[in-house]
Amino acid sequence: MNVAIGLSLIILIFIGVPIAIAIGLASVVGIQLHDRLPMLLVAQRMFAGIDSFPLMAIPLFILAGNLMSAGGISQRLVDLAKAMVGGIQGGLACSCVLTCLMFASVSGSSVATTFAIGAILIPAMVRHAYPKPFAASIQASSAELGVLIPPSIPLILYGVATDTSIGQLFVAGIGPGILIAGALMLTVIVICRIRGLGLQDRDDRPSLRAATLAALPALMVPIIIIGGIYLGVFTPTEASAAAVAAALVVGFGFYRELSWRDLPMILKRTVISTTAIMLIISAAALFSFLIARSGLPNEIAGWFNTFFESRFAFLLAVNLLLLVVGMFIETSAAILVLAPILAPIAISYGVDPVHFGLIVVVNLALGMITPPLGVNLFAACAVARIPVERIIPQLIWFVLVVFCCLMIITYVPAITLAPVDLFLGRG
Amino acid sequence: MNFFQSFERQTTRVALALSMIFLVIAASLAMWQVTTRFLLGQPSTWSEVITRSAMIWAIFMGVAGTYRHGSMIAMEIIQRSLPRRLGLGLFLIANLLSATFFAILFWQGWGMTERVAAQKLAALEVSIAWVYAALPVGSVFAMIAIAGCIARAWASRDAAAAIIPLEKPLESAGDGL
Repeated sequence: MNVAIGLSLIILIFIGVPIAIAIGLASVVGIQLHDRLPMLLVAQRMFAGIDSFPLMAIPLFILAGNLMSAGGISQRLVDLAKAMVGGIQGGLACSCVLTCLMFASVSGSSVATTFAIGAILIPAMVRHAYPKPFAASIQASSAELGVLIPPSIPLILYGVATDTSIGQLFVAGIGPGILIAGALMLTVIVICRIRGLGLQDRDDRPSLRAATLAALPALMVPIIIIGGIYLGVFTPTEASAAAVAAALVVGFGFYRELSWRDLPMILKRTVISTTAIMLIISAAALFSFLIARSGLPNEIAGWFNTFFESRFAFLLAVNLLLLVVGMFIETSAAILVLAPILAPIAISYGVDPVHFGLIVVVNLALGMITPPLGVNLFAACAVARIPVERIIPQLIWFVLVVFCCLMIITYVPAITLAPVDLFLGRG
Repeated sequence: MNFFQSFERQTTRVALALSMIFLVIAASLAMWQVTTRFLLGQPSTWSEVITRSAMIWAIFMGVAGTYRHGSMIAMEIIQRSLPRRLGLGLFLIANLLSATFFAILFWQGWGMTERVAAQKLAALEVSIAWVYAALPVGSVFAMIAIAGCIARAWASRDAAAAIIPLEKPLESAGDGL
């Protein structure tokens, strides 16, 4: 049965059937081949898979992100980042990383981050004589901070799929996010020095005071979200509802760039993005149910246990597995199918489930900027209007840097867990 | 534009509008839920149930529009790299498979809706069937929208013609992440 499910899944995905439907149809094949399972499971599991209050945070964060982008936040965050780091050689490229870091705290998605920030900063970098492929590869790699800094859709999915506290995962994402942001900025500065780029970045730089004041309302939203979760005031779903309210206040009240006429378009975008991702979640719930019943997780666990004796070796193997998976498979589907199988194995090796969640998400985030299926690459190249092939030579350095960060995050648990212990007083 | 295509345009528009209304209901109630927890010290129980239910409706009513606007997340690289006629063939097969899935979901969703008719939602005197009905109803709209995609692609012999772009480019198109 497992072979049939796996084969049909692969064929369906390659034909170009939407991932959600491919997962659903492969499950139908599985149920059909099984003697005692009723077809009603299709409806019942798909319903149960999305009938969850923690998952409601996903549409609400997508809505808040769309409201914020339409409400004039992106430009303010760009100005603030330029004021903060724009004074050095390569400062504009650094401010791209920094803006993505800030924007990530209102957006749960890295593709949305690429579009919102890239649309402003890629043309700006090109005006400052950065080569287009370089600008696009910085944008693509910094946007993956979108899934590490809370709110983060992949971390919500991991939490739901493995019964791990989403609040703890959110707090744990901050350390890796800052580590990767710092490493990327350092890389940018070094490359700019070597290649003599970004020499006129000091021009058209806003004053720090003015930029901070202008960005203050925009920063209110991440303060509410992260502060609320840090202090244990909000659950992530409550934080997402508060983020929607705050985004409305900022867009209508402070920047006045949001109007009632924009709302239908924002809502339409939100329901379409929401459906695209929630349908995958729904179908994956059905799929995981079948996989769990088939006994495959135990087989895989047994296989891991015979081949990898130490935690060190296990983590290395899992990283390689996830890297390859992340290159080919869509992130939410990968998390929903693999996390329930791998997390218990990780725990049996003594890896903390929160730490493991970050390892999974950083790996898959790296997959977003690696060909052949790097959604961020496509997004950044679409914004920069260049073919994907041209970005690859520039991208290698950034991929290597993020990979090094991934190794550090994997083998130094304190980066993810120390803030969790500090703020949430865990264990 | 022939009769079926304008019919599909209307049904998908209705489905999307309903989906947006359900999203607004879900978002408003989620905010209400937070407010009650902070002002009254305890969250209202009914609002959580309705938030979840409205979101399920929003998702299944959103499927039709997601197909029409080409935002279902799919791996189209093979379809696109084949010669146009072969690519069109693959596109048609993929969409027929999608339609098959929604036919199954309609049928089984209907079965579940009947089966749970006697069960009530927690904290409410309403049958769960009202929420489960989102699956068969959404599937009908989805099948019409998929047929619309097939009709548009077939009419111009080009898979790319199946997709109607949103008025403004969709920034977070099919973005999971």
